Amino acid sequence: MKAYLNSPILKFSNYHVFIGLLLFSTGCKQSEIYKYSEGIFLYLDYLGVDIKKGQTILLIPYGDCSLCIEPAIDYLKFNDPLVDLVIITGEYSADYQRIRDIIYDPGGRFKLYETGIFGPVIFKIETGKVKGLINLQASTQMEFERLIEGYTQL
Amino acid sequence: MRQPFVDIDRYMIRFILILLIYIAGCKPRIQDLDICIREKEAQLTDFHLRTDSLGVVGAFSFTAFEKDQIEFLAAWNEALNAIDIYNLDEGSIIDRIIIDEEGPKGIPNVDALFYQEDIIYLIDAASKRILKVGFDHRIELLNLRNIDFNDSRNPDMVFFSVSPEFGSVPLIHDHLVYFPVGTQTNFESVDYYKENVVGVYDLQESQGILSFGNWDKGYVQKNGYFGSLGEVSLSRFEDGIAISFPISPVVSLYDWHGDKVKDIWMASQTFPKQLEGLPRYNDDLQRERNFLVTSPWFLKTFYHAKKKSLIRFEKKEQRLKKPDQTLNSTLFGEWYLHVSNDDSFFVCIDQYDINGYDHFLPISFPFKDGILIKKLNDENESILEFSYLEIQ
Repeated sequence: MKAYLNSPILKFSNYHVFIGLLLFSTGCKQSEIYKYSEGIFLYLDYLGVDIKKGQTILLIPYGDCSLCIEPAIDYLKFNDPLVDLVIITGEYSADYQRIRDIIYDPGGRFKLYETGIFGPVIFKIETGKVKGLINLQASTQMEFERLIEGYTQL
Repeated sequence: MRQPFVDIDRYMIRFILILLIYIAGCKPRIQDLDICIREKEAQLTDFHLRTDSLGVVGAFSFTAFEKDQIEFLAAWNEALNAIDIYNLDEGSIIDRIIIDEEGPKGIPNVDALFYQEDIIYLIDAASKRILKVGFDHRIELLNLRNIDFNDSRNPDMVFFSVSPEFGSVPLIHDHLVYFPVGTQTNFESVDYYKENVVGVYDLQESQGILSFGNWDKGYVQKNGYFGSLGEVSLSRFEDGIAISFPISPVVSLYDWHGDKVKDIWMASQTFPKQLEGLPRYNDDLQRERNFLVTSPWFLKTFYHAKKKSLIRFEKKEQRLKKPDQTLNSTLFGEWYLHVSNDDSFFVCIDQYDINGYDHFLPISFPFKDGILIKKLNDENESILEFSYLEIQ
């Protein structure tokens, strides 16, 4: 312990500054950076998405749980959400309000990536990271509308 | 004159020796388990089944049986809502029984098929309905609501836990049906794993009789939540029922009255004796999927009556990701096939290496002196392709 207190680090830096830095670093909002960012970026790369900082993406995973995505699909039939890009990870075709900036993945390769996504989500692209990812799990179209509009109108 | 360092060394050596003995005692050694493992080479040959519909492909719901010394396969055809019956000896479909989705002789969903004496049983676990379908196409509906299995559970707390890929399928013996059952409790809690896993129903008396069979102890340990690996597998054997679980190397043998006969080891030598699972209250599904990719676990256990053998597939550990950073699959990797013979009192296991990349292992069943395993190749619409593995 004595040796530690005499360490060069503490000799050359103010003790209080050291504690302050420690508190500041733990206080940073690290939790906002999404745990499986890397997998999402790899998938976006596979889709050929032109990734831009500040982009907001709505992603609807088509596959295992059709009930999970139904409210989102119904919403898209009557609304065009205020997002930069919509991704539907399958061949789920319907008459959507949105015509531009909507990507389908007919190959269904989404499941091959470690994304942690199992229901509709919305997220923002920051420099090399996915931030503020929110699950939009809803049981009705109205509930989904409340969730997505709550996010996009922030 | 005392030599303290020599004393310390002596004590230290004793301590290390005791520690080594303790560690060695903790590791599951194959000789402690009183079993032997014989490595065998899997020799696969092609087997084709002629069909007129690909509706059975991908469906887990099937039952294989023998009648008048002919081997049959009855498979649920999702596309046509029908039972397709194949004569395996001829390699072709011989009958199709269309089933209503609604009404007094209908069933909304089919989770599994099982067979006894010219009757194929279809079960819809959610609605607790069973359809008895005769070879003569006669159909009878059984409603199985609120069965009292005479255990600590209120009847409305019991549900049928049907999942064919893991062997969670009812069995029938004489007039008794053995159901895989669960409890309507949060499956992330330890309480879920305290109740019995098999419920016995008497078809003649139209009532539940008893429940038996414990969850493997792996499920009640501190980090014992396994999510989708929480299914019980039921299989008959010569004198009763074999119960196993996807996370456990042990297969427990019970007689038809529900009394335990013995536990047998049916796993590779390196399978961890008590698998460490995911933490309870785990809401990260990605972590669960990763666990399924990287960890060893088991599919169903099934019985080959002619060979008097219990059979099960064990997944080998594999890396989470491929070099291109995409995830490996949970099913399509390298597997073991274990065959344990009743004549050797289940102490010797024949172990085959199986390439799961070309096969769909959940669709596998006994045939002649071996088993048939569904191939992934379905390019030819008029042929269902299997590999036949002869048990040596």
